[in-house]
Amino acid sequence: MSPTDTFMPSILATDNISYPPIEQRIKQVEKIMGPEMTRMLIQQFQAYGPQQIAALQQSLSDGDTESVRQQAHQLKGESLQIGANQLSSLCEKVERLAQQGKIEEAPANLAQIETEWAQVQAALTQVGSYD
Amino acid sequence: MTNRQVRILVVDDAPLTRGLLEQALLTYGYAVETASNGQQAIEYFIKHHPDLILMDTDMPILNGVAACARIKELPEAQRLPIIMVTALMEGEWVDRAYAAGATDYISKPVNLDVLRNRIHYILQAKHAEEALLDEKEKAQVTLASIGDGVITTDANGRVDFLNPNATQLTGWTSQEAKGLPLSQVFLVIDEKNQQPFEFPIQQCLVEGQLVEIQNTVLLHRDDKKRFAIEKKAAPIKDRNGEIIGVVLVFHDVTETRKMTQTLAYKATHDALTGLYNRPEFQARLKRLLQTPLEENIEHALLYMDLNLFKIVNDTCGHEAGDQLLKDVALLLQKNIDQFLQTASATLARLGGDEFGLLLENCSKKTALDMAKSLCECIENYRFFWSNEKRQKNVFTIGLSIGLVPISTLMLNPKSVLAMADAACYIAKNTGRRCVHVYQDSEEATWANKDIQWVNLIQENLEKDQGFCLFCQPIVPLQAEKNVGECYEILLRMAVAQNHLISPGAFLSAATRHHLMPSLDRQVINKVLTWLEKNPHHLEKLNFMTINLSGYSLSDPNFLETVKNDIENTSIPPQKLCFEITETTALTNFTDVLNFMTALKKVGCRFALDNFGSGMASFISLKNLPVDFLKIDGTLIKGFTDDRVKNATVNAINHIAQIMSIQTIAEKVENQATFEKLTEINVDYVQGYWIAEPKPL
Repeated sequence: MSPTDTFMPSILATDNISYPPIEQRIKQVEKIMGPEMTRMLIQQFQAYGPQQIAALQQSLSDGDTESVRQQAHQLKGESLQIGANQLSSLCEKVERLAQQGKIEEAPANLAQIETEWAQVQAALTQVGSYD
Repeated sequence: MTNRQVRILVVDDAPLTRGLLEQALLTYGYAVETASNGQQAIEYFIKHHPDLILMDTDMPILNGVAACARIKELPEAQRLPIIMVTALMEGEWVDRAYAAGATDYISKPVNLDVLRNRIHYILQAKHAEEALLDEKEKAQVTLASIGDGVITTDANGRVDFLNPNATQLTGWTSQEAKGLPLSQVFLVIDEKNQQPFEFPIQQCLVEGQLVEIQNTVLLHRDDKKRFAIEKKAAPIKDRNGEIIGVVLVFHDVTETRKMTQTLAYKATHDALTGLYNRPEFQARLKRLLQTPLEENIEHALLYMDLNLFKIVNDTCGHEAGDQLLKDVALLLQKNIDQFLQTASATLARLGGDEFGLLLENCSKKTALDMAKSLCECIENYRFFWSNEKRQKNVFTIGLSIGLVPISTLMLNPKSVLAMADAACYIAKNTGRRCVHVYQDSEEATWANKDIQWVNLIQENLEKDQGFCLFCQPIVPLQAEKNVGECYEILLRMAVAQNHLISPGAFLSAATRHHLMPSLDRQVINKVLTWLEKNPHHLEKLNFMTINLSGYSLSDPNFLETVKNDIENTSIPPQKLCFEITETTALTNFTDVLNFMTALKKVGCRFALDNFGSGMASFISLKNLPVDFLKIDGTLIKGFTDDRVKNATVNAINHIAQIMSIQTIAEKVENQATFEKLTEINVDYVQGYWIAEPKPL
């Protein structure tokens, strides 16, 4: 394994930055991707989010550290593309705990993820129904 | 990448983002394949070689940066653009991505407009780069293919590049020479002074001038092999006209130069002997004549003609003649080189067996000494030749030299040469006195005289009374041998009414103009006719001797004609004795032997004339069926007082007796000689004291 593989990218460096409200961010995403692509992505993400969170919960209760890591990583990446930076950041925390083999500390984060998801969901619905 | 659809590989572990990117790229008209981690990306690349990869940095299994680095290690990926997709504000990742060989990066969330433009731009750049590489490759192939050596330098005159031809000529490869000063790689020597030659590269670099150099020699790095080269150097300028280096183009002209030198040499030299040829000799003479003559500076011209060359050529063939000329050329050159210190000499073959020597800054005395030395050198030389039948011949040749001191009054090279030629004729014709110095009055008429002789001989040959015969008695010293009259037939030519001259005056002209066979036949015919008309003389006759020239013996028809003439008469052939000189016998040995053998069968007799005058060899004498030896007059004259001559005559006589050859002493001009000859038992005597020649 090359050193790059163990290198963990971090958006936690921006931990203390307060992100702009989620609606605003999604609007920015819409600007850079165009309404069509944005709508497609929102639809996909609305279906994907709950599934992925449920899977994450399941893996966590199963104690499957590797699954936790992968699922958290994926949700982290997808969240970033839609503009859900806060959600992405929370996912990364879980990913890191999994990487460190400390998933027993993760449930608190998962609760935060669920709360954040509710907000993202609301915002997505709002943006998706503009036109 | 021309008209084919561009294929892009999208690599991301997040399915939504991956789908989004795929969708977008399809919309832009690209063909898209996807992979969900770095490992898959590598495998896909190896199999399908996409034109571009768009890859997430942060992936499980094998992250994007590592995958990028691995792909970039593959040679076929050298020019593959890889765009990395990174999360916002991942500063360190950006650096790592570039370090891994990524072409560019784009941040998440991906701005599709930016992505579209970036891909378009990168592909365009890749296209341009490939076109440029194609061009570069073409240029390099071109440089490798051309016959010229090409070296380029940077703006400081340091070597940048050598094409294969330049490598071959200098011994330096592009790699080895890169960065070295031009003078270290391009070793040039001035052809004229053999000094190292600094190529004026600064003239190119600073002044921007085109520099062209000739007459230099390039040295090879290792074996110091030399190449004659011609070269040009031109500054290389960039688009703004700034000089950024020099291109040096050169080619090997060794062969061309050699050829030029060969041609120049051939134009001025004689192919056979390697001496200068006639045109060059005349050109130098002309140049000399055009230079104003300074006080106390003298020049001289020698015109040299080989004696007896024709005999060698005629009897042994041209091959022998050529070899003789080569030998003589060498001998002359060697002798001249040894002789001259201050003067400058031009030795040339003027044609046939004629040589010319132009002596600049040479006094008349030195020239004369030189001429004598040359004569001596050629006289002492013996030419040996074996023919196909392994018959060996030894020739003594001689040299006749006409010497002309050059004065300012002589303006025409041709007339100087003609004077020298005339002087040479005199040298040759007046008893083979080796050197004759030209004197205004006499010589000019000599060449004309020669022609006059020839005309006279030819006229007389056609006339009945043009020639007449004299005879001089040959007297036996022993009484018991007195079995009849003996005499030598002598030729006289009528030059005016009742005025006859002896052959000494005209024989050389007759010889030079190939009239000897005709003259000899005339004599034989006259003798045969006379004998038939005078049977009482024939009855009393023991033998009469008739002189034959070597030139007649070399004449292919002469023998047959003479044989027929004799056989068509009733004259007993043993009464006819042919005299052939010793020199002729030695130099024309084969012809003489053939002739003697053939006429011996008929019954004729033979005498060897002037025996002892040259380098007589008793061994060769043994092989010739001769009946008489005529001891040369120069040995007889004064032999009573000269012990050496006395001993020589004695020896000749003694050996002749042993070989059963009779001896005839010529030029017996007083009683003392006669008595002495009687004493040593010479068989016959002949001479003015005995009896003068009288008309037949």
